[in-house]
Amino acid sequence: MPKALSVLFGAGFTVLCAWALGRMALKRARLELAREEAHLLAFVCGAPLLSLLVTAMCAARAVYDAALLAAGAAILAAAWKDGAFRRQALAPLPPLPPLWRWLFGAVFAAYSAMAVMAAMAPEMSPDGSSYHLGIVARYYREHGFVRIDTNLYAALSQGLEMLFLWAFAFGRHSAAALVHCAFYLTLPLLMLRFGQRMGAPQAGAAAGLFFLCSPLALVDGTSAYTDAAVACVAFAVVYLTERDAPAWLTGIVGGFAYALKYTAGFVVLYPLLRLAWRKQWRGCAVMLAAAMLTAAPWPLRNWLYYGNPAAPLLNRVWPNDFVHVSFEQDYVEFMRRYPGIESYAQLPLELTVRGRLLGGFWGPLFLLAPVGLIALRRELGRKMWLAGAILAAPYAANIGARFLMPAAPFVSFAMALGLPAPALPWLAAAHAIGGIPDLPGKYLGDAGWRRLEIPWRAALRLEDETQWLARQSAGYQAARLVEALTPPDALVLALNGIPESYTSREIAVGFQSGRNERLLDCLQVALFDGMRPKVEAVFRIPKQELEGVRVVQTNSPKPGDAREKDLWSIVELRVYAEGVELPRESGWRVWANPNPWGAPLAFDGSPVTRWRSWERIRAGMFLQAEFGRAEAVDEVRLLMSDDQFGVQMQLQGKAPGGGWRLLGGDPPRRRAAVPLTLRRMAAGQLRRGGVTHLLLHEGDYAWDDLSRHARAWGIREIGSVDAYHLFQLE
Amino acid sequence: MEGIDREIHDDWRWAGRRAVLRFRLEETRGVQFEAVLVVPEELVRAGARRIEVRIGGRLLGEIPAGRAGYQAWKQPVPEEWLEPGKDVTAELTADAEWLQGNERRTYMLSSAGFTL
Repeated sequence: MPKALSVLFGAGFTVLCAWALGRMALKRARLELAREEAHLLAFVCGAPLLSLLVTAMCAARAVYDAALLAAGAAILAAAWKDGAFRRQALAPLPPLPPLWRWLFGAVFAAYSAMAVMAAMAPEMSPDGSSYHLGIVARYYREHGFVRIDTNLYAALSQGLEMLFLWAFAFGRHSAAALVHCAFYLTLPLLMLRFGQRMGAPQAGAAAGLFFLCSPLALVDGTSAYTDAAVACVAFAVVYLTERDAPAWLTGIVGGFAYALKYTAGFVVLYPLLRLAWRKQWRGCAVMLAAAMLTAAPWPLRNWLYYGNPAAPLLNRVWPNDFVHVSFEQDYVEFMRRYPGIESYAQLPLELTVRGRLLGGFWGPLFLLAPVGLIALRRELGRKMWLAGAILAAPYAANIGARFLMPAAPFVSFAMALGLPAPALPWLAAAHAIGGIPDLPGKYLGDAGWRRLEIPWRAALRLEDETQWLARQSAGYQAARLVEALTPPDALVLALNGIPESYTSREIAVGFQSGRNERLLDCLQVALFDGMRPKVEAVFRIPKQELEGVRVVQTNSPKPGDAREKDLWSIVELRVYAEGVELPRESGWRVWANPNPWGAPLAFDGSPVTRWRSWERIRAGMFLQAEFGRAEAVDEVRLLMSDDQFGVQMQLQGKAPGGGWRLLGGDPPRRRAAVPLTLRRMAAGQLRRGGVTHLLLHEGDYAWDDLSRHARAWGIREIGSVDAYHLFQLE
Repeated sequence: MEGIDREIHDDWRWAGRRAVLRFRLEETRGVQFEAVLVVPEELVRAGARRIEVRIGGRLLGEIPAGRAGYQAWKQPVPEEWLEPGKDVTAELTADAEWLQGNERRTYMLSSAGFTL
């Protein structure tokens, strides 16, 4: 089948199956709907059900093309039998004024054509081509879920990825992007119908166009992302609530919002508040139970795979070795204040016309968002602001422009309600023209992430896909290089991400999971002077019998302290009596808090592995060894790196038959000789950790040393493309 | 081998005008020679300008000694100067010295050796 057709089939089959399931669900909901809204809501209400089905197939490792085809055929047959394909004599919604009928129709048609072409083009969005579809491709190859410990994004909820997987099976990357595009295009139509339903058709039409024509919504909604789908599903929850849909249906769609993105789960507050306001407690319970049905698979999977139902977040609450607390601490800080954002006063212009610092922009029209406050005078306006506020609540945790997308339809609606009605067609038309790729580049200069063109030749595969991708993305070439030069079971450690969905090899990006960070740490210990084991802290105590020793960290830097971000680490803990080291025996029990999993690394005799707290220092952290019997001890030596100036330590000892007691503090430190074979030791440790190859870019911090001293590291370059170099560990 | 005082003060020793150390390396690639020392005011007043560093008789570089204070000097050593498993000498030669009582002094050496 020509590629363009397989793309259309993959996406179309997914959307059709979702719609069919939704038709059956809506029939059972006995919801009175007009023709114009019934099909839209059918797609959105069926999507959670189809997603749930694929989730079950993934859990059963039953994802095969034939199984998907059979399941799809069964859904369509059941829907046929249920009368889903029959035309129903439904009452139409109040008509749109002619001006709006033409304006909305023309703009929607033009943007739909552009969006479908953009989504059909080979996928090259940063997150879509890397983790969204990289993980989908992995599930497809493995026929279902697998524990992926090299990518923390694999632990995010993946409700939409389940639909991507269905489409990917038949049309690969572009089919998945097209499924997302279906939500992007459904949302403005839902907004229009909601406006008609609520007696504000002009506002509905205008709000729909405000969202549709925003540069950020266009580029995001036509990529294999999730944000436009989140916005669409969240809007549908409000729609269903306002239509007094049964609590189970609203709950299923509300839970699906969580399955799309953790933070979108807040949307269930909207129907919940309404039901609680009306004292419909049974409805509250039914809605929450239904929401659990579509939301629960993801925390359950994370709990089983990673020991943390909220992975990759809340790692202090559910400690695990999949994602380090230190990563989460840094990540949360980063997301709250992106580089270049010094003050929140920068946000209005960054979000609307600049977009370089926050990853996209909504367009100058949204500078008028405060006008939407006028809509608070109307009941509908208050409802829109309430829903918008609920969905914008998590925004402070990640200030990227696209994280406002779930709230954007409601803000758009409020704006349309607040602005003078005669101005709406002009504003909508200007916004629509101003959003055409790449007019924003003409009047805003070098603004942020947006569609620069509509690559229709690439979309229709009139231009070779691989050549087009190679031209658009340097990382694509690197992914193909990895695919060509490594065996199928290769594990490639990279310092930065590449479009990994274009290789079947496992790519472990340095920061993307606890395992990767630990592997990278071995590399960095050999690479950076400050991380090398060149300091020895020595506790000398009167000779005495002890059953164990414990080193406790006693400093809790205050917020803002220069040492606040220090991590504590110990390369080796050695115990001595009269200058002779106590041999480490199998009866020793070693433990640490936090990161008990890493404690053995301080007792393995390797200068490139170390126990790390993987959490910013705080008083009470400890590393200990219990000997299993009383041993004479007069000295404890800690081999450490020089990158932890905030660490203050005490030594505790466990007297025979007694508890832990303080033996001393503030140990003197002396220099320790660094083994010259540290690089080779680090490479050996990477090999033992499963790494077979290293992928480096000439801009990577490790490039200079690794390329110049490849033989000292024990690595060999086996290929390069553009500025990427692939090394094999020998 | 020679030119380094036997007495250890905390973590340093006096170095003579010509200090020679002998090493045996397992790894010779990507290796640097590092010397950590303190130049006293007296050496500067004696007219010192530099301390020459030679590895296996070849000049690796010069540690500036014209100003008093702490110095951590590090220089990559060409791989071909070294041979794994074979002895190699490092020679540090100051261009001045001074007298403390009857003792000839140059600088206070904390550490010297090959590192990454």
